[in-house]
Amino acid sequence: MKTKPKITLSVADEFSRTPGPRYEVEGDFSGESFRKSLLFPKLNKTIQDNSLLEINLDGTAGYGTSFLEEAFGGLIRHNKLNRETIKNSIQIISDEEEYLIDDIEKYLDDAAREAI
Amino acid sequence: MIVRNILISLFLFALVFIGFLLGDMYTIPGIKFDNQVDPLHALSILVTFAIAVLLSVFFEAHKKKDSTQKEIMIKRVDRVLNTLEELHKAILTGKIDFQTAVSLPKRLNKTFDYIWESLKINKINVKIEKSEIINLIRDLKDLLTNTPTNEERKLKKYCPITVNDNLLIYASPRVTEICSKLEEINNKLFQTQLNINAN
Repeated sequence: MKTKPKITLSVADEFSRTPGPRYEVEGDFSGESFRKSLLFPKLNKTIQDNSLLEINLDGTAGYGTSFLEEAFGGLIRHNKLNRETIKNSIQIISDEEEYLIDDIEKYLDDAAREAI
Repeated sequence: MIVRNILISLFLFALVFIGFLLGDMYTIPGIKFDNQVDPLHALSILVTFAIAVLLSVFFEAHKKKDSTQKEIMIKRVDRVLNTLEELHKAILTGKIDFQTAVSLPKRLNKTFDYIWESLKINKINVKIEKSEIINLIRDLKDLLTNTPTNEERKLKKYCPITVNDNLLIYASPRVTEICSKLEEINNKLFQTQLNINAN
């Protein structure tokens, strides 16, 4: 089986070691800002190139629920991406907090359900 | 501890020696001592005695080591309980620093990874699964940091959390929910401490 080429995205290295709140108006390094400046552009390119986006969540001080919900759920709510397309295009690494992978799956599922 | 055991052994050997001397010097009515000692019997007594002493030294050292390990782990859980108590005090004020709220669940998760790994290595069985506590921490994280979306804000009559000036501000019902979750975690940790101690 041919593996897809990978694009990497490290939150700690490329965005911030101290991710912030949900919206840009609420403070620095928000989930909204992460989605707009990094996650969506990289994911869009990944989808166009038929590659895989490897998102590394390790190395930060921790994530608020609303940061991750806005970043990932917002891909469906605001960027109008399809749940299945996202699922097939991203791979999440979270060794320090393994449960975040399940949390993100849940945010995507909830956003997809609300979008129907 | 080892020196003390050696001294006790020497003392017991001395007692045996004195016993031999007394046996030669006095005669006790009704008890007859044999003048000849079978060397094999003597050797057998000495070996049995030496093994008994060695076993007691070995088990005492092990017992001491196990009890120290248990004490260290119970203290580690105690530190988590203290952290949760600090959080409890802060929450009662209705506001908390944003980075504290966001980083605390991750720190707790790391600590629990460490504690459960140590329990496994030291073969200490606790009835509580790590996942039970991690799930409670996840719930706590949601209660502490899940601010509503703009859409949710429009639908709901009250907003449980707002962010202002790097502070998370909680409505009174949310404070109650957080305190109740903290109590649940505290109870699980207390149960964990009892389990460690009972091992």
